[in-house]
Amino acid sequence: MNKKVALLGNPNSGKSSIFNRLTGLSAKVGNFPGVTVEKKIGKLKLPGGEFIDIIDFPGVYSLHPNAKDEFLVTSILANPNDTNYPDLILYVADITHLEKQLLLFTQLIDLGLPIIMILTMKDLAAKDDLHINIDALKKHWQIPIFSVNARSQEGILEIIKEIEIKLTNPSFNTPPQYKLSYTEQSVANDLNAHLTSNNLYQSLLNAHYHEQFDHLSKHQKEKIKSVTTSHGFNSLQSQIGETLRRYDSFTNLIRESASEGTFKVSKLSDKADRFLTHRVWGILIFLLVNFFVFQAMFSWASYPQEWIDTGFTFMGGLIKNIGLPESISSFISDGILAGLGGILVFIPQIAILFFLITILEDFGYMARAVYMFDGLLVKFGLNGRSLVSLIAGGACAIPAIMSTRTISNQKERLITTLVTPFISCSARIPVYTILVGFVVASSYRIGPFNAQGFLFMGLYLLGIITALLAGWILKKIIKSDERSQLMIELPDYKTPDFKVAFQTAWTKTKSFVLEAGKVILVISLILWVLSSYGPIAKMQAVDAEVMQAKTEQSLSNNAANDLLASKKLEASYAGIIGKWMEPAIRPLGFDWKIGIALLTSFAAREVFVGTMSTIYSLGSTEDYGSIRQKLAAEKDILTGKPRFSMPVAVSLLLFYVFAMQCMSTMAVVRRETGGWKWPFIQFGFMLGLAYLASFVAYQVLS
Amino acid sequence: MFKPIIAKSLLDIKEGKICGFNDENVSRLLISKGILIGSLAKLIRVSPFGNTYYVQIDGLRFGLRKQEIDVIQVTEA
Repeated sequence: MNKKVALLGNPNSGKSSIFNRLTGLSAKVGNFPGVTVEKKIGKLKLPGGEFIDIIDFPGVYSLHPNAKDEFLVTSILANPNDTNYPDLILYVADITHLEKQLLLFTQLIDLGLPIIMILTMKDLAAKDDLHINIDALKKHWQIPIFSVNARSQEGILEIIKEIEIKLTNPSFNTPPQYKLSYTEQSVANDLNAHLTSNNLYQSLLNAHYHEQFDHLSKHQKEKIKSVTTSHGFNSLQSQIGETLRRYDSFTNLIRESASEGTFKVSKLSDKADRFLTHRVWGILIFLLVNFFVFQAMFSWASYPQEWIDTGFTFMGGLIKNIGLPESISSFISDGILAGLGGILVFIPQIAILFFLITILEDFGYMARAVYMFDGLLVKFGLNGRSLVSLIAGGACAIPAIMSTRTISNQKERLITTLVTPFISCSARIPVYTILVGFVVASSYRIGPFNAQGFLFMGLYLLGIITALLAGWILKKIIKSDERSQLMIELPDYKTPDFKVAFQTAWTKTKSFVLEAGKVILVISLILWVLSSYGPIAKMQAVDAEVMQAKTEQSLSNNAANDLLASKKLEASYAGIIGKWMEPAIRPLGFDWKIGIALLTSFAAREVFVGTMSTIYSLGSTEDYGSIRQKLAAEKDILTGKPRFSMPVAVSLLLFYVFAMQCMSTMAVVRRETGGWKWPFIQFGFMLGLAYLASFVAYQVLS
Repeated sequence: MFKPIIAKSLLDIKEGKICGFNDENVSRLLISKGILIGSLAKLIRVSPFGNTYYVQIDGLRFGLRKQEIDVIQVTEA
């Protein structure tokens, strides 16, 4: 087992840059066991050849937690048997705000773990003419301290050498920074006997949070409860007392060792904020920034997406032609490859969006956006912090929902999780693209603009408005006494670290592939079985029928194959389910063919396009133009009118705006909410709304 | 002469020295972020949709809701 080094520090301390420089692309994202808080872990080779793990903990202000991700840090550090319990701590602090970043540091000292301190933003401090007497601090705490620039690799090697020294010879001479009160002391002494710990502060943390700690047995919890009660231990007052005493222990020290007042506010950030957080300009700039982000996401991603698409089609064709038995080659190309392609095709958009979001976050802009929109989002049961999830939802709901963990209020986090899938994700785009043409002709213009563009925008807006309204309704329904809060720090603006953004995009995308990939792959395999197999007699009858049609109508081989695929899909189990569904979806203007597509696109919405092309016997064509032509020629058997009339297209578009239609999102919601209850409720209300909207639209328009 | 300390709201006087908090649960979170008694607080602006304020406290800036600011008591510096 590798030795573990924990990277800890406040939010905005420059921790991610340090992590990036220590580990590079070796970093992996996982989850801390039992919780959904993201764990970034990377390997580092020490000069002596030993490999160690660097674990990037969530940025926190204190070991007295607020949000879920903060609680995790406390629960790991309060339990020496935790698999992530570190052998050494690297404490990262921003030198320009050192006085406000030491609360956590002194708490960590009291845990008795060896610590190395890394002060970041040395260059900024130099620019502001801020000098801190680091030797005095080293002497005071008896620990190694390094200061580094915000961006360069300078000084990293010295840190790595020091890590090796500290790990081979773990010495610790720093006295506790906080003297426990009489009551705390008695409680901790009693607990030390019951827990395997011999550290007083660790026992005190267990006294504070024993009810929520998973590492304690029921028996231990009861014991701790009786100890705390018998000593009259008041957790809240103890926390406040501890925090204030800790500030007293270092405030003067820092003021004495700093060249001048450390309360220097970056003047540039203030000037920028007059504009960027202005009541009117701020909102306009936000909209503009988002426009560019999404514009970039779509235009940059279109090239790699095309390569992925072409690559998979090519491989599928290759496999069909190497002479394997038909059922096996179909399994590989239509089952596995189609499933994989369906996952991989989203990677470019997700990677680009996360790259850009991380840049905005690192720059300091996201915190401002959260501040600006909090007042609005609160009215809809959300939190300013929900904004990041809502924006990420424009690429994919899965990583978006995974980023709700920074919201401390349970109710707001739940509502954010429930409404995020209403935001039109990238999987809806192929569906919209096929269908908008049936609503307005591409030649139709409003002023200088293409009317289809407006329709597209309208669909996006509809998703956003519905997300807010659903939040408003959920706010009324879900009861909670828990306080909601914002309290967000607005850091100094700084040049974004592109390496960190690249690393974040890379690791997030990897985790998307692993999270969603599994589900999409399994679902698409199940759907492949359902749509390739059917009652044997029926399937054989289809073979004979197509052979006959081929000779009678002298069809080409390709046309006959396309016809066979279409007829087989009709006779398959998926076809049977589609026909069985038809009475239910008829009022929405859909027939069994659309029913099959609704069913198969439950793996991922964009599968709709592929299914439509199979069922209308287009074979493997995925060209939007030809699919649309074929659909336009299709007649309704009952009425003889075009199948894809404007009302049907509108109804189908609305259905895809509202319906959940994504098994992987449901799986992620289940994990985030700890059960199947909420994903099913969510699925139910989204489907209900989709049905209602499509029903009304179709009945009114036709 | 004895001069009484009169605690006021930051929303009224816009700028002052923090002299107390009137809610322990909220103050717990405020102090962990470095918002302490004795800190200098300055209300800069209100957010576009209201209810949230841009506040400078010592060297730091925060977005705080009205309910959070209400907890902070200040005196004229």
